[in-house]
Amino acid sequence: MVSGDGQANPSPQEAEDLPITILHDKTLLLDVHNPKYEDARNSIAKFCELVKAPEHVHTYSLSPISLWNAAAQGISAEDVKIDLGRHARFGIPANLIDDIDTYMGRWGKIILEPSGRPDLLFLRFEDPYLEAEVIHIKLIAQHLKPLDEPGLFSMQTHFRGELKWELAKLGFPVEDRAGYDEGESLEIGLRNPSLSGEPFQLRDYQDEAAEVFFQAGSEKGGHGVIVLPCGAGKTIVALAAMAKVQAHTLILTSGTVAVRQWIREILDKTDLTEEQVGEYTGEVKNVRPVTVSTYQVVTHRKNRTSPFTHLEHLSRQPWGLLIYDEVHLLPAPMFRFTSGIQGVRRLGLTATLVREDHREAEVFGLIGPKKYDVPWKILEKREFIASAYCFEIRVGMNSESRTEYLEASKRKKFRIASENTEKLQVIQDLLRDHQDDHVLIIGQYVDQLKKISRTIKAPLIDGSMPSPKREKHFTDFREGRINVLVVSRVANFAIDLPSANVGIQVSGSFGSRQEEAQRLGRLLRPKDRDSIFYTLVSRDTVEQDFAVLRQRFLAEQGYRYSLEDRGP
Amino acid sequence: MSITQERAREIYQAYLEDHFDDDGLEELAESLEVELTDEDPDQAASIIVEHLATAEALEQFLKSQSENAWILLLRLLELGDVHPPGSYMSGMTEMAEEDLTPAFLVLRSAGLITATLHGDMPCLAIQPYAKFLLQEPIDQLRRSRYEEDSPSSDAVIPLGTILSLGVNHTRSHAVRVTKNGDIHQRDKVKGNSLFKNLTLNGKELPFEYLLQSLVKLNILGISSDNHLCTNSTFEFQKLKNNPADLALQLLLSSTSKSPISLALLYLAQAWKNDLPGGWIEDRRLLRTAELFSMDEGPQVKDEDSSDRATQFTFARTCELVWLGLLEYSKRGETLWFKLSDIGETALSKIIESKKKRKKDDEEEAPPQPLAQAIIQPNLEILVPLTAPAETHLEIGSLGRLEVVDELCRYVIEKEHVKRVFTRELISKDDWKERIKACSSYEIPDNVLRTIDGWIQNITVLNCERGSVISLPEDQNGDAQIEALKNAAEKVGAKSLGEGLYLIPENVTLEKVSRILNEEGLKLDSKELDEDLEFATESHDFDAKLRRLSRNLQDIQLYCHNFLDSTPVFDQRERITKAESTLDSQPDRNIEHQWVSDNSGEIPAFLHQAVRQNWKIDIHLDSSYINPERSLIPDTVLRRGAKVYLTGTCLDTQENRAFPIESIEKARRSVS
Repeated sequence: MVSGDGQANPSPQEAEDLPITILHDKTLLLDVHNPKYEDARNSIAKFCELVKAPEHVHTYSLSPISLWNAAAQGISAEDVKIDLGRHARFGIPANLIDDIDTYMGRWGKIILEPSGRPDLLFLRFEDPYLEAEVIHIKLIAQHLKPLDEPGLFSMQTHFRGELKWELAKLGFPVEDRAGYDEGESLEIGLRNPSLSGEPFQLRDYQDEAAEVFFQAGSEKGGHGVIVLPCGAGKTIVALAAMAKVQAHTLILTSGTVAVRQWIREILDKTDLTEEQVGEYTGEVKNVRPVTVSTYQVVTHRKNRTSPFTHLEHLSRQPWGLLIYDEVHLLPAPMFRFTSGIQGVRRLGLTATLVREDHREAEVFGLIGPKKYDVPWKILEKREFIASAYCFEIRVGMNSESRTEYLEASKRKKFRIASENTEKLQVIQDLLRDHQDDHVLIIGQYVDQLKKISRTIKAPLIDGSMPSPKREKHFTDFREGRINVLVVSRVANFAIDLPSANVGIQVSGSFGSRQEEAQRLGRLLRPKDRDSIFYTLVSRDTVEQDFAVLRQRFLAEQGYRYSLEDRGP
Repeated sequence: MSITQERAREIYQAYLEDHFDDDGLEELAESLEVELTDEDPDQAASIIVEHLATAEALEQFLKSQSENAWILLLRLLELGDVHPPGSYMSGMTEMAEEDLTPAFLVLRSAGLITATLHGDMPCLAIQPYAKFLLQEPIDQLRRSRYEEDSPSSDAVIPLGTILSLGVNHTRSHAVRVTKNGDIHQRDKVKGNSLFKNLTLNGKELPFEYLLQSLVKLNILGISSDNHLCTNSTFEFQKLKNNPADLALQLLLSSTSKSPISLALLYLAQAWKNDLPGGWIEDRRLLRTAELFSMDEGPQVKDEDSSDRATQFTFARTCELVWLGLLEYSKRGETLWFKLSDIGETALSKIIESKKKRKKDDEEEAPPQPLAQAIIQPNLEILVPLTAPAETHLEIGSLGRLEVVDELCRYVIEKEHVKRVFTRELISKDDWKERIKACSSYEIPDNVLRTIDGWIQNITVLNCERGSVISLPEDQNGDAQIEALKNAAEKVGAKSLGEGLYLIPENVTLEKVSRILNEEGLKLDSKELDEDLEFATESHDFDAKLRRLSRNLQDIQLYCHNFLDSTPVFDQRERITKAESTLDSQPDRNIEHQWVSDNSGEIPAFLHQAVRQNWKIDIHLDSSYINPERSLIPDTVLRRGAKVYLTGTCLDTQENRAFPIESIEKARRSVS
């Protein structure tokens, strides 16, 4: 272990009091109870990514991408080592010093520059060894043409995304100074008060996130992902970014209801008119200066070999900004599309970096690195989102269900446990406890949800319900005409139900962390009372095992998690 | 390479007489760690002149200054090159502690020793040339000291003979003893001993301190010719009939007490029921045990620290074998260890004494929190590397170790929790107390509840023999059910579910019939004759009775864990009731008849064979080239989806495992 360069070794007594333990696997453990916690967190957040934030010790990770991102912000390897050295209780592992030097040393050695021609870009190598290494990679070399100047190559503009992505995978970051297509300009201003008459002002972190993304219009900004919890106002950040870019904008989101919500927000909080904002969905296809569409529509094609007609149509428009809502859901066909439009500013919005298919790196490689995040707990503390309490209620099974469960195959066991009929009684008990609250009952299996819906006499929203009817129920719920809604997976994403403050999850995917974050997110819109998130789990079943994954994930996000037993 | 001072003098003489050759020069240079250069061929010779002169001068200087300096130097040279603080004081009976510092200063001013850092630890280091310079006078001093009289003794006996009374390993071991009781191996290890095989990097492992413990415990004395001998007081007599106590005394005596030794015993016990025959491969044992060696192992965090930690741990393993606490087996190039019966006894005594000590402590004072572990609500435990080995064992054993650094990160997992509590390494209450004492912060409730949930679901298999009794389908009204319940209570039957009872095998059917009659029910033997298949559930396990033999004497239970449908064949230790009952039964396989797969009796037969240590013949299915095998079965265990019989195959003399489904028939060997 060594201390950060340029710093005197702290005395053993001083070192005892330092808040960070750096492990050789490039994780940093930060003691949140240490008096120097705030200072340390602010220091390392510039070049580390927060991985988990349970009660006592938070885990950060130092990755090539996080280091390159820091380098792109003008932070040097020396700065990183000094910051780490100042806070590291046991010094910095030698391998980490080496990695920091190596990875950050690579930044700025391969540069993409404009050529003066729209179809061509220059690739400049500042290091001859790096050049020798890269031009031996066949996949890359076939796109490069050497020019007279040593270390300078030309390449087709459309290869921009693929080049960056391939080189990043190999550990070589490309500093992209080629700039952006400005797209067709569009005047966008934010209203205060909003059209509905409510006072509207950006919160400090929303303003900061938009500025971190835009970087005063320089090529250092303009692409990246903003990670904020549900309810923290990701849409508002996007509107702020649109107001900074001032150009035609394409917004992609997860479903038609979400599209309309976006449009509502745009019209309410910006000075854009209805004529300037278009919906491009399965039902309506309007391309306007600001167009909101869904991933499903743009990646739709007649069969597996047909072209993506909507995608092609939309990609020919003069966009100056692309906004990917719920970017962790980005479907695979969008990867190539995104790779091909590296000249357009790209903003990703998400509440979770987790993708169950583990393609996070790919997504964030194409859209851009994480530019800004605020831990959920901090926003909760500042009362920008509601305080949330998580309860896992273990529900017993009656002997009939238990026998059926015991006899069932492993796969079937999960379904039987999820649909445990005893859960119904617990739901009714909970509803009695929360008569004055707005309750969402969320589940995986429609049959189960139908039964619940019938028993408690609350409307059910599932995938088969047409959008207008769905929208009506959501509106009724938002406006307090109904207090309980039973929803299937359709409500997982991008549905704004600000009044919901109690969630009862009766069944879920096999421990999907993404789903958990989204479902909890439904409850986090700021409100005058705390949010409570119940998960009903059949006791002594496989469901209990999967619930441990949820428990782990939510605890890592810093939520209080309690267990309770009910039922037979 | 080193040369004696005598040889150096010869070379020096040759130099003076001008017969100095290149080989001699190189030999000398290498010994003195001097780099030769072409420009100065006489360099080594010049140095030797200088050094020999220095040696003579030093000798005179030291003798004139301090006899204690000589004694200290002798001690240091005997012990090695680098010495942690205090290590050299052990056995320095002839020097008072207050004399140590002046002696140290004399040696230091003579440039013979220096203070250095070995990792983070300040140590004394002997200068490389000190040994060379002072070899001859020190040897002389040694000789003069050993010629003095030693304590008398009854008889000279080899150490191996002494220990073989308590342990199974003999060792032809000649040792040399210094006047002050220090013991050193004189010869290389000979004979068919474990230690012949157990060297690391060509170095023998140090056992001196164990011998010193024997002397300290007054078990051994020192003979006039500096050999170990039985002591006249012969405390050993008290211990020789109790090898576990002997081993334990040695292990826990002041010089040999080692947390890593205890850790190894714990680990060996932990694995005992998991691996075939309880054998654990050395690499696996050492790798796990290394984690626990941090508070006494090498302090240096450099590249070879891992090797040294392994060596250190390996030495401890060897000592445990030597003490009879572990058994070892060599298979090819691999060594395997397992906890011996003596080790099992010793370990249980340690645990008992710890419990007693803990109880005493509790009575005296409330437990002080050690504040070493951080238990997070995401089921993660962070334990400093420097925490005691027991903290790592008892808390860390609940989770998968993810990273070992200054802070070890464990992730609590169901399988680990189940393993710990199934083996009863620690009780739930003890664990809670322990974890509370070690935790820096209040333990998150969700963590405790989650672990509780897992513990509750540990399958407990109660395998019992008896008769099953139930009501016919057309007579299962409330009145009949109640009557059957009353009857069952009277005969001491156990409920397997509603209307289904297990009658103990020592209750005759006549008695059952009579009591049923009293309750207004009739025992229908025809019903009993039928093969039944049904599922049942009790408070702690669910079982499917797949087959019920005609006379209802053999009930074969296939148990399924609630959560993962794991057959629990491998939980042999749980089948205690079944063992005692089965063992008391007339042995139906005593006739050496084949038991076939068709009858479904093979699993029960194999369990019986394992328990009673039979030699058996098995007939495997046609996928085996040699389907007829004779073996001594070791255990029946589950791996993945299959259940295996493991044992020593007498045809190949190797440990083998056969899927039970491949065994078509089996019998007890005739021979």
